[in-house]
Amino acid sequence: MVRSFLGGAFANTAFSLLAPDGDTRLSGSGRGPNQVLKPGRRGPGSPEADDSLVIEELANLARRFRPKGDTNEQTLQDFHTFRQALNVASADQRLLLFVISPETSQSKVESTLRPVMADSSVIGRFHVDFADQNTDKDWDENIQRSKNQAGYFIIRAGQFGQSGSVMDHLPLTASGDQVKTALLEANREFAETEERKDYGDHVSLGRRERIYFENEMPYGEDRDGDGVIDHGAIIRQGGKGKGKGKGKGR
Amino acid sequence: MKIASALIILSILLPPSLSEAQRSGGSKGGVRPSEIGAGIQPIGAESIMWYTTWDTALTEAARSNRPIFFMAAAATCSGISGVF
Repeated sequence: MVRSFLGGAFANTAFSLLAPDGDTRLSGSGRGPNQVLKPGRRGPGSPEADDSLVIEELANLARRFRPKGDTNEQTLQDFHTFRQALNVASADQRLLLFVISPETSQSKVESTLRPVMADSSVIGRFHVDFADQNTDKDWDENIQRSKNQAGYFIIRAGQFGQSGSVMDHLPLTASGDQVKTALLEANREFAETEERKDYGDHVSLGRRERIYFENEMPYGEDRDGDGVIDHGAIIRQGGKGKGKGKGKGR
Repeated sequence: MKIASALIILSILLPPSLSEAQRSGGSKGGVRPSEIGAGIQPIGAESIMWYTTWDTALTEAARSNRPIFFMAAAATCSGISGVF
């Protein structure tokens, strides 16, 4: 999919605007919005590259569609794996609500959670992941204070998103209000005690500690679109990495 | 109109907020980790609510008839997790 947005090449970012059918393209495609949308293409520093103009273009495009449906019925977020969810929660510095539910209760749990996650005091402040029986069996291997049982787990991810701790646990019988109260209380504590990461310091520390995250996506880029990751070119460009992650692209 | 509520944001890993270096595009030849700094969004504050899988984003786009802001990005930097 990424290659389809980059003319056959593969790079660490790709961007496009799509119609609700997920197929019709509403814009060109490229590495990011400032490269693709008209106001951003004038380059950094120019008045035309001002974020507000990019936002205005997005708003104009959105006005072409009439939103429908109740926001309290919005689709819940989910991740492919708990491992990825924890990594993203760490990167975004948000708490993760991890839900372990038997299949028979899934529908009821989702009905409880939808209005909670759409609430104005909650939306955009948390990530949500539902446990997958196959990929998440060992989810609590590196999680402190975990209980491998059904319920709602409010999890604080560690610095590198490969460990974490449970801040609160509620049974699946908890009401929406109870879940919301627990989320807001945990978020208040999180906000008071978490420091915003500095990107450069984080990467430097990761290199020193030889942090490495195995990913299904290949590391590196295929800029010439020949189907092969250009490891050599990336190593020459970067050349600062150590250990397993040496010289590989983001 | 709030953009985040007008579009379905699908991002395989969009940063929560942009630092000055990110917004300006950084130095010539691309942004280096040391140029990015820290995000400006306060911890715990409302930020973009985004979908992290194609299936959930497409379901929500169809349900709400909102267009999709598609952004893909690696979940690591040089294989180092906990940042993107």
